[in-house]
Amino acid sequence: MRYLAILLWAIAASADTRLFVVNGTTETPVADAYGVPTTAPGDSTDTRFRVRNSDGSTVTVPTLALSGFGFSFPSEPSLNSDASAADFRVRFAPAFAGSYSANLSVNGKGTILHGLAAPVVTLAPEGGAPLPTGTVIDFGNVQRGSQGLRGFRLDNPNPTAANVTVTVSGAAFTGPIGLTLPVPAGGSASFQILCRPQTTGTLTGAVTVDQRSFPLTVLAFDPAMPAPSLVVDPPTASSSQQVHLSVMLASASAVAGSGTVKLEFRSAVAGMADDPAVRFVSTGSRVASFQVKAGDSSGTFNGQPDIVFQTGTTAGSIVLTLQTTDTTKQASIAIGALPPAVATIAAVRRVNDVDVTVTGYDNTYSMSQLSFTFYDAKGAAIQAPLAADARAAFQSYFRGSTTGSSFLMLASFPVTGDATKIAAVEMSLTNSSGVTNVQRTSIP
Amino acid sequence: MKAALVWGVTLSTLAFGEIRPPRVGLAVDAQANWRVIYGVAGNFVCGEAVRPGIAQAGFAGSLGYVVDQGAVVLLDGSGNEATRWTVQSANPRVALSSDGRAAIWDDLQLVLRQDGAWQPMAFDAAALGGDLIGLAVTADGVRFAVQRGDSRWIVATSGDVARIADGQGPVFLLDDGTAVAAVDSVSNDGGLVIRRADGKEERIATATAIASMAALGRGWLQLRDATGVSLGLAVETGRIYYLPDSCIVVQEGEEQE
Repeated sequence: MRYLAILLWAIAASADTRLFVVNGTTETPVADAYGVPTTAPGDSTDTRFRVRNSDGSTVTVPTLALSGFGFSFPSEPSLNSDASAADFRVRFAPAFAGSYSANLSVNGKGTILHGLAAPVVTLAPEGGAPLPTGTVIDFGNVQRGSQGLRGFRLDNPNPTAANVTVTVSGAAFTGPIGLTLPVPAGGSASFQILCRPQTTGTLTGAVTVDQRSFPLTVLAFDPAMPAPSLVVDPPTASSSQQVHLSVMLASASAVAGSGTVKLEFRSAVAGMADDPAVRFVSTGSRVASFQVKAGDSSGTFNGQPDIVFQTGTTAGSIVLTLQTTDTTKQASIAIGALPPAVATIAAVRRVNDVDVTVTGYDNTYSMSQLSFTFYDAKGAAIQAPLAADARAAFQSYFRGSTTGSSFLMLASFPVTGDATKIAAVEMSLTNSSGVTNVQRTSIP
Repeated sequence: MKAALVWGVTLSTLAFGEIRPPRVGLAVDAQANWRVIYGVAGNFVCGEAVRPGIAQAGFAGSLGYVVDQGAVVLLDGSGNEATRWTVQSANPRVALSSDGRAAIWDDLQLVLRQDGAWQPMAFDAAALGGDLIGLAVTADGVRFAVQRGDSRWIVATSGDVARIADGQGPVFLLDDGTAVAAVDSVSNDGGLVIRRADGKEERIATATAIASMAALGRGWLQLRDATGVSLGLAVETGRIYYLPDSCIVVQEGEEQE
């Protein structure tokens, strides 16, 4: 047992720690010293190292130590999935130009790191400190079509004038503007970058000073359309009307926009859930789209300043919902219950009958009593009014109606005697909201 | 419920003939369908399409016509063909009367249909003294709307002549002697002049100029304005309404957007 312990100690002692630099998938052995990439003052460069045992045995998390100005560990070391190696990084971030070195200890084994900070022309925002490479330059929020201008400064710490290449990329960005080269020795040169987004959203680009790149970003937006409101003409409505609807803005809009207006009919009549006549007349639809041009203070519907909708022939309410990307507004128009409405009445005399034809609507769907009074040519009533209960006939008609409550009623009256003596007719119609008396109508 | 005999005549309790949806007439919609329009003034509901692909049509209450494939086709109120007359021009002028007569002005020829037969009429087109822009069959014959220079005139077969309006634009003559002319003198935008049979005139402003007129139904004209909007003119009241133009016949309870 004692020999076995000595053998295990010997194997462990022979598993020597070896250090590599990893670049992509390439591992390069590191000897006693290693030079990290040359880095500009203010920038930083990370170098990835890998630890393996010389005999290929599994490793543990290495014990690391680093001493030296400008060098640091940016993160903890980590084992790979099968513990065959452990990786760690060393960051070189020189603050000033010059030569740097540090002692890196891995499991007690030392390696000297060398670094060189070459003096470069630096980029700084106007009035600010030089920016590390890769620093994102944010132009903030800029309205589409407008512009934002940012000033920058190139500082040349070198003892000779520097000709640098400055390029600006990205559709929203233009520059450099006003840059004069070379940048004098120990001096500065200023320039500007113009941001003028033509689309909305997060737009990106970059400004590059020689090989050092700095991302540019801007959030381009469209300003909101001024608050829209619905205008109906006439402002109050009844059944069987055509109402003009327009969309007005609180002020002239700086941007183009659009929205929709939706009609919803809420019936007040039991058993009549809807009225098909309630819709925009020109389109036959219950939704209409409107557009707003930049500079306009009102919307247009298919190029027209307003759109017309019908109120139908059913008591209830019409709810108008205006919707834009950031606004929803509603308005309601009450359609009150009315006595029967008569649109036309005509009477004709035949040999043995008088026919009375009436068109109209009953927005309560409750037509009940009808009464007819016939007159002679001198205006005297020929007989007492003829009354009829029309409730069942109208209920039957309304049940199958696809035109709301509008109706054409043909009433025929058999005549005994000389029909030519019948010269005119008056009628009244009754529903749950009242009685409508129709003016006397001549019979030609 | 017979009432007492007072004047030698008695009316009995009414016998309902029928109750049905009121029909305003037939109109050509934006999709060129000749379509029934139901409802009452200010509340129109699309009905069935009677004929598709129609550019010119009219309906006079019981008789209608369409211009279809080189013929003027007369139809009854249900859209059934009654008769047809082959025409030479693409845009013949057609007039209907409420008593079932019809007139066609085609390629400078006048044809009348009355008593169930077509009758070409000897008529000297040069006597009109201008271009025919409208036609009516009236109780006393045929009347013409004529563009003479920069004014429009009504010319009767009897020889009577009356100026209806200045300028250019459509004129519609009704069989009762009423004339409707589109004018630009009522407002800056447009307007109509309605001249009744008794000579009285009404002037009605419109939002845009009226570009065409057609018979929609008894007492109704279909107008199209310069922007293509379909309007209905109730001739008796002189009121103008918007007509349904993109008809989607909606089933009861259906939410249509």
